[in-house]
Amino acid sequence: MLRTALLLGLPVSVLGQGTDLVRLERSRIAFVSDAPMERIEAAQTNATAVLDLQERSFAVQVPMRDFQGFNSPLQREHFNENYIESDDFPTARFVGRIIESVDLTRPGTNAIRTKGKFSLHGVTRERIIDCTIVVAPDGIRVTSTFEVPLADHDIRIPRIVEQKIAPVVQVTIDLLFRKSEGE
Amino acid sequence: MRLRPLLMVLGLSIGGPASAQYPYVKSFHLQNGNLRPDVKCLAMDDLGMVWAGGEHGLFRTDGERTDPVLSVNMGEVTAVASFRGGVVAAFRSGVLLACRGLLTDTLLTDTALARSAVHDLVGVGDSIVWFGTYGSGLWRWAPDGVRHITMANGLNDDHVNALLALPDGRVVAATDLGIAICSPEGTVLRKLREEEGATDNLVLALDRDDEGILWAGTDRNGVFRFDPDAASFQVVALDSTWNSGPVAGLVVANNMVWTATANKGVLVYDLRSGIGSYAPDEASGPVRIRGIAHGPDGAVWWCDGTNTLYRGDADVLVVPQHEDEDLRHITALCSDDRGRIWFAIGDRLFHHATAFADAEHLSSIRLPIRPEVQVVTLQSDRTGTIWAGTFGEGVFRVHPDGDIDHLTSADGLANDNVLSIRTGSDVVWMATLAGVTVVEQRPDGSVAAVKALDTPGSGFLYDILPLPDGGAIAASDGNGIIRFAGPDAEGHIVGPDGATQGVSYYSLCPDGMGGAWACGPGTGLCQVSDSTVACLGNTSPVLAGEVFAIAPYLGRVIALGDQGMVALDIAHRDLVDLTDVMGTAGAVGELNAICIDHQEALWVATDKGLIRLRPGEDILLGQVSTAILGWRWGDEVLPMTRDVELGSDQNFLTFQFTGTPTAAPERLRFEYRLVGYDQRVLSTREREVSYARLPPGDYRFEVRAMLGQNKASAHWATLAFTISQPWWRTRWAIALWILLLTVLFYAFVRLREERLRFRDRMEREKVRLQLQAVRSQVNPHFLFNSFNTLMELIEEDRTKALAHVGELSEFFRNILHIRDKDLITVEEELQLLYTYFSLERRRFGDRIGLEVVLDDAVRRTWMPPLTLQMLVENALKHNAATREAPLKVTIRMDRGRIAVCNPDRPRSTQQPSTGYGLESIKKRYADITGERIEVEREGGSFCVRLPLLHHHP
Repeated sequence: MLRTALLLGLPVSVLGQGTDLVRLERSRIAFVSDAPMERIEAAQTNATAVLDLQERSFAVQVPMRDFQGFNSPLQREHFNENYIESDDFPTARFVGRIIESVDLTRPGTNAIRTKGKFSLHGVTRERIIDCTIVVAPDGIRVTSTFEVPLADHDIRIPRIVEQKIAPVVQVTIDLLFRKSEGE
Repeated sequence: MRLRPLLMVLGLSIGGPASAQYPYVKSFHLQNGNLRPDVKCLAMDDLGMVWAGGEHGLFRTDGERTDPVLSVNMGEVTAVASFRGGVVAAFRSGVLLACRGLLTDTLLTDTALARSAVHDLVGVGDSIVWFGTYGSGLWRWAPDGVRHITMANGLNDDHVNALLALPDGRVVAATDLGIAICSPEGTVLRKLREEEGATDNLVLALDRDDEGILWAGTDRNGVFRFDPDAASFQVVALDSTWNSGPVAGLVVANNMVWTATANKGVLVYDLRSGIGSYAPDEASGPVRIRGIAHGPDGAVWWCDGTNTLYRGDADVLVVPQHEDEDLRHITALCSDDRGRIWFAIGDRLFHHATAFADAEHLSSIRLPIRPEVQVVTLQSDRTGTIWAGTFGEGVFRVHPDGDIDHLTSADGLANDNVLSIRTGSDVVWMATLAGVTVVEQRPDGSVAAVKALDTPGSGFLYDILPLPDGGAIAASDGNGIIRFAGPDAEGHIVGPDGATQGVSYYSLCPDGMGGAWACGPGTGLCQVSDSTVACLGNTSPVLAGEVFAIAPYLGRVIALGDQGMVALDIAHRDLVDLTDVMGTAGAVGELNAICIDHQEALWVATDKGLIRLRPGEDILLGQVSTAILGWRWGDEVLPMTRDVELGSDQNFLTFQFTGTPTAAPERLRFEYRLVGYDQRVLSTREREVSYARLPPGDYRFEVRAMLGQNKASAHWATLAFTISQPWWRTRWAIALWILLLTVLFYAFVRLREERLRFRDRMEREKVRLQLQAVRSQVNPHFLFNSFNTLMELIEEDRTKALAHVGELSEFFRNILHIRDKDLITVEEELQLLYTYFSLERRRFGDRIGLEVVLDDAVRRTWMPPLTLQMLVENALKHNAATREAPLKVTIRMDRGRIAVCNPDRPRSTQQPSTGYGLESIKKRYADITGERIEVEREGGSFCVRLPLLHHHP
């Protein structure tokens, strides 16, 4: 787990050298805040991630400033300045391991649980997150939808916008890893 | 630093279960100075202290006072567990610390632990600590070394979430891949995974009940239990449709399984009734319980990641609501012999099993009464019929088959306002607003007769109590207790005539020993006998307030009022205030709405809901225990051993102590005394006292806790110690001091003596100098006279003059010779004298004469030089010398002295006498020899007697 966490910061070419590491081909991270008066959606494709098939551990890092969408540019600015405070906490991370002992080399679809440390807004929480992992011959696709209670991460919602921002945000991740043997 | 316990806001959480029977939960907010430590894990020690760990380190609290365990921040604490009477804590930095009281001991420091945090710890005995890490398996620490159990040694998974020690020393580890049971040495014996029947591989919490069954909390599928010793695991899930989220912690205590769930707070599951319910946080949202632990008193504490700790007490269960029925407006209450509780709300009668759970449903029966009429009393009889007394419409009888019949004044009731119904052996007694009514029943339960008994006074009765002798007593308004000898007898006021006038009683209860007790406004608890009512007085704030119910319980009479709750020990007459420990203060109940169910639990209807009370014997005793946590000299923690001897400078001491019950830490007071220093016992609410500048001596610190007005704890917690004398006051040092003083004194005396001698010598030196001055004075005086004589002789006789000059020079030569001597022999002096006298003879001729009669022995003695010469000179100077009467000076021995005598013939033309010569001689004798000279003037002669000096000093 630690090894994967360290490898996050390294260029992709270095990652390619480990036989059990798979590199990220494509990613999509999205969130939805479904409040009574407003629904806010945003997404991005700039996450970095690494999956270690031998250690069965992974790390995902999301640059918070890169979220696009929102209902207005001002809303995006508020997201970065007031709530996420992207200057101080530029990334969100989830570093953990796969609990279930599924065979990640055999093609198929598996529902798995991942357990690890989820950091957002400078607050780290231990989370168990359900994921679906699809193993195909040329790559591995990991998808998951989970909830992030804002209060867990010290993100305070002013009373005046309580009706516009949900206290629990739905996050969807979709990561496509390509097996590195071909390189 | 003051913590305010909050009474739980009683109410259901949104989306919570339909019923709520949950323990009385009290919350405590930790604070130390400005620091509000977040708590993520906790454990309790033998003293009842809670040890709370989290990002801010490790803290020790009793709910009232919170102290950091370490003065330096060693970083985050990831797990803590009971060990050696104290706790053992794991720090993220890789340090394992054993703590007890104020003492800490580092068991292990391993940087490998810093990489994979310790998730749980368990102590086995006093010497082994197991700890499970998340990533590097299971570790077994013992003083002789560390063992490491990982997947390589057969462990299911290296990610350990929870640990549990079995009584035989085996250890159970909950991992991300099921449960492993390990031998005391660390060999993996058995595994329980999904293959073996576990409901979920991801096991997060573990505990064991009294029967040896293990309970496991999982991530996805809630709680399951299994017998670790069964040949094959039989896994039983607590709830097949679990939706409360991951189980963060699990504690089995007192037949209750307390499960900390991530989504719905703490689930309390009663093993006896098989019923579970949630104890939600006062906040309605989901609570994330981080840690849970139970203490020696059976209470369970948990934390939610903030600085708030919660304490749940299964002795007090509160049911504010059930199936949308608001149970805070119950007007009457009773239990039946089928394990049910009956209660009335408005015009409806409800009954329910004594356990309030989702599965148990309320049944209700509507009574045909007007809306404004209330059921004020309920009672079940031996046939299972429930009697409901109303205030206004008589009595309704609800039969087991559901039939209802109605008794009113038309049927013979004394009045339709029935305040109390109690069943006796074969009659039912009723207290109404117009005296007592007795209903006689046939064996099948049907009514045989209704009789209104003759009741003295106004007839306003609040309560009635049948007695074992077939009679009954009634509590009246204004007429005290009224006794009825039997169902046909008329009533008599108990006590002397008039004494009970104006005295009212509201409640009656049996004491279980054939006696009866009563309580009324301002009376306190009163024992009712045939002829007297003996009141103990309202000696407690509870009894002084409004008491709404009394009931017998475990040999006590329990009284509940709006001020709280007291228990009177009937045998010992001890009144114990239970308000602080049972948490019923502020709850107001309907009059006499109390009952005891078939499990001997007390049920009370209050405005906070139905409350079930089951205080344990230790609580009822009102006993408070006290423990000295430790003591410090400044910041240095001192050992808690007996008879510690401290250095003389270790005289600034701080003692820290605590007490139980942990239910009411904020109400504990402490009496303390430092025997040997404090003259009397002092009192404090603080948890520590300090003493500064204690003098050396033997001391004993004593402290005991007190709760409210209850008795203090029977035993003082004591700590004896000695502050030693400083080194300069020890015995040998004192001896040394004395020696030193003696030496100093001796030296001083010697010095003084030396100085006196020196002064003496100086004195003598001075005398000698004076003497020399005298000598030098003599010379010119004599010289002058001699020169006068010489002048005469030069003119008269040249030869004589020459001889005179010769003698003069010889005289001076002699003087020169002797002038430096202190003493000369008498012979030498005589020679000098002769020379002098012959010089004087030249001047005086025959007018003077000298006679010396001294033998050789005397002549060999000593005298100051010029003594005789001076005396003779004086004689010549002061006395008349004529031809007719020559002045003859005689020197001879007289009475052992040398006497120089001359006739006393003072000159007519007396020269003023300076007295200098004689004085000089006196002084010289006194100074040099210490002897006095005698001067005598008698019989016409003047004598000076000089002492003989035989030795040259």
